[in-house]
Amino acid sequence: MKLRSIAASIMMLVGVTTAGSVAAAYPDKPITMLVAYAAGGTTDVTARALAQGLEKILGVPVTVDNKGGGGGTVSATLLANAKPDGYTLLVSSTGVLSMRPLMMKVAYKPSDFIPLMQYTEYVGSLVVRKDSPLDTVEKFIEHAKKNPGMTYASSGANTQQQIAVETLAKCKGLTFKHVPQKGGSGSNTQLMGGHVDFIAGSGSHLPFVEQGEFRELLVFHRETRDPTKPDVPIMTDIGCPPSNPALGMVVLAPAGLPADIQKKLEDALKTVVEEKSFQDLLTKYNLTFDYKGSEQLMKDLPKEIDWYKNYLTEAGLVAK
Amino acid sequence: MDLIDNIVMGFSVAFQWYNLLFCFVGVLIGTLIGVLPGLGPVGTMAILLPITFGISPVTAIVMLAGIYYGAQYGGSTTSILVGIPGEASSVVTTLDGYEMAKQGRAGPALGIAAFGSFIAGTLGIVGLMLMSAPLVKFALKFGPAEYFSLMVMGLVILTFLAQKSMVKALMMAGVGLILGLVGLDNMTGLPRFILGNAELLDGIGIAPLAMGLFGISEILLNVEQEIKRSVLVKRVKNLLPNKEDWKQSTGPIARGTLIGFLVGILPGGGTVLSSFLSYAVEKRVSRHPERFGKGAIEGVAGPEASNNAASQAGFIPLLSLGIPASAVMGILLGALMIHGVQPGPLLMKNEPTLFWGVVASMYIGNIMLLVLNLPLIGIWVRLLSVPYSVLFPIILFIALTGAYVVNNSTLDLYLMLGFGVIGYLMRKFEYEPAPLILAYVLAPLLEISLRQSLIISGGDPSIFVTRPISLFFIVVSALLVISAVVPAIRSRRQEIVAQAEEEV
Repeated sequence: MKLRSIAASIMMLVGVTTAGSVAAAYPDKPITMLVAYAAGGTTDVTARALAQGLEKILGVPVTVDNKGGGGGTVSATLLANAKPDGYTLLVSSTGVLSMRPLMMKVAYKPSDFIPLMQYTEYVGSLVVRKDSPLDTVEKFIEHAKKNPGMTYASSGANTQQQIAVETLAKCKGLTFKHVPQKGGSGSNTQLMGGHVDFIAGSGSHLPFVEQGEFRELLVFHRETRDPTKPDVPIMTDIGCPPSNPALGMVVLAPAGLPADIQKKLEDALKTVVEEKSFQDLLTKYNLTFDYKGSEQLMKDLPKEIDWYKNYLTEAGLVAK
Repeated sequence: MDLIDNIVMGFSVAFQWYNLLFCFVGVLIGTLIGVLPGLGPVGTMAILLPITFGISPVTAIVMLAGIYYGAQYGGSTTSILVGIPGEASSVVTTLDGYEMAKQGRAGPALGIAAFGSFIAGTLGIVGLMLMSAPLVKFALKFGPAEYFSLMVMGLVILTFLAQKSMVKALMMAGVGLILGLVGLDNMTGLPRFILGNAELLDGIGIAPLAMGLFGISEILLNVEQEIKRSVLVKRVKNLLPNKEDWKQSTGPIARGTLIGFLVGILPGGGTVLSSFLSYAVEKRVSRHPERFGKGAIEGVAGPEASNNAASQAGFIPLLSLGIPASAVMGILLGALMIHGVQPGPLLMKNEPTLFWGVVASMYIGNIMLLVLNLPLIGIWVRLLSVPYSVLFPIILFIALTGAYVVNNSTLDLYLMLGFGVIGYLMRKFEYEPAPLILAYVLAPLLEISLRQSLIISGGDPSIFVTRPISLFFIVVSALLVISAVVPAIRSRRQEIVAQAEEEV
């Protein structure tokens, strides 16, 4: 430790103005990892595993700080105002960059951040009770045509899952009534109690599918069938355009991060998520490993933003 | 018989030395955070969650659960001693508990709170063992309409909490509802009433609100009247409840347990609602309702039993369905998943050692809490003899720290001090803070269930009276309003008649 700091000081003396010296010194104090949602959820649990892994590689403490609220925008606002020195990071959904700023006033803009990595995507599917006579998506659509106004619950208003159901409704000319919940578990309860006709599941419904309480009729957000459930059709199977793009679970840093620090963080993060223990954690939560590096994300995020901008403008949901 | 085998197995798991140890650590931490206002079980469990990564899932859940029900025990202590609720579920306990302390009966109040909690906790666990499956089915029948009507009943019951003016209590409930709506609209995700402040997106925290209205205002009030204090402390008599106290408390504890158990199963219902439902019931059935708010031991025994039974019952939806009924249960759900245990309808079958082990540990934990709390009563009561000039700065310090650590937010400090001044003025003008807090807690659930119901019914309000469970709550609410209003009108009429006669 001492040696390293001496070495760093010498480097500093030799080349005070070169960026290289900064990289040698980074990191020399604890890193704060903000999490956009409350403790205990999938985002939080995976973020904690990331923090543990980073600690090992970078050799400094990485403390997790849950700043839930505002659909993730509270933490994004904090990150936008943080120094771009690599000591403040955020684990969040890409929704804080793409959807939320379109739908509500926020105190930041997407260009305030640089994405470092995506490691998985949030999922979504159309789910009914196992005892429902509507046991195929075809029967479901036929029934919905005859009975406009079927009710469904999702984990919240304007979530990726709700928008997915609305794309199905638009494609097939159906009308549904949306009953927003506070999270995926709310949807599950509503469906179990029979208070809604179906739900837009966001992942936490999967145990109930496994245990024979629920049935998935349609998987959203995918361009090919999910290999773990080859029998469940996707949007293109029923003659619809693919639904809205899934939001990614990403690590963000404030814009203006020095290139060498960014490189160091990107490499470390990639190493962590490729470890077996992290992969096992994702499997446990029914999340697929879906890695995208910073460069790829910089290309894909504008597409995601455009998609949502078009859709939300058309739906009249863009905040003035 | 299967059940007996399971119970025996559960205890054999719970009696393993490390489970006993972690159970003790859990209830100890729970008691401490319950006593300290501010940091609640949710925050503590979230902070400690990563520590449990290295231990087995049973042991982890045993400890985390201990923190939760331990906090329900500890929360009553500050309510009774200094009039500041340690947890939201102990708000009601301040009404009579603090009055009892002022009359020198802090010991019996603390004692009955501990015994009441123990009895309710024990019965709650028995219920958890025997009736999980059918009760869950009942709880699932609660859709948005049933919730809305239940919340309406909750708000109507606020009128029974009114010690002085019912109109003023209802006004405070109105203010509480408005405060509860600050933050993001739960349906649309749009910010409301945040005055351009991003920190308010999360809403106004319960910690700054409750500590401001109860704690800071209490300090301000007492600064005015310093001398009285020494008088009360000298009157401290017995430390434990006497025969008379027990006679008065048996009924409230039994009823409180039942109410807590039933309300606790409902997702989102929880400990706060159950504690003031119990208070209202006790005031209603009492032959001397005028004693409530003036140090009635029933007003401590009932609600304290109730919030403990509710905290045990809250485990039913989690353990049998994998549905978290509250934020605390959400964290436990996360803990189960981290340890690779899949919560859901098959948990009892797939992980019998976990289910029965945790349930048995709760029983042991309740005994530990009783043993832990009873000797402490003497120490707590002695705390009352600390002079105000020393005690108040300490309380103020703890309150300020408590309000800050929840979100590391300076805004929360300003809010707490602001609410402190408002609370002081409210008390000066005889507006009570309890209805405000309770309405504030209910507001988000009330709003979302109203809007969800109306979406389902297509805007038709008859949904609330065509569903039987909902209709039941609406009818009870209507009867309560009538029974509260009629005597008032009658006496008013008599007054007018009397006046008229005088004038004639």
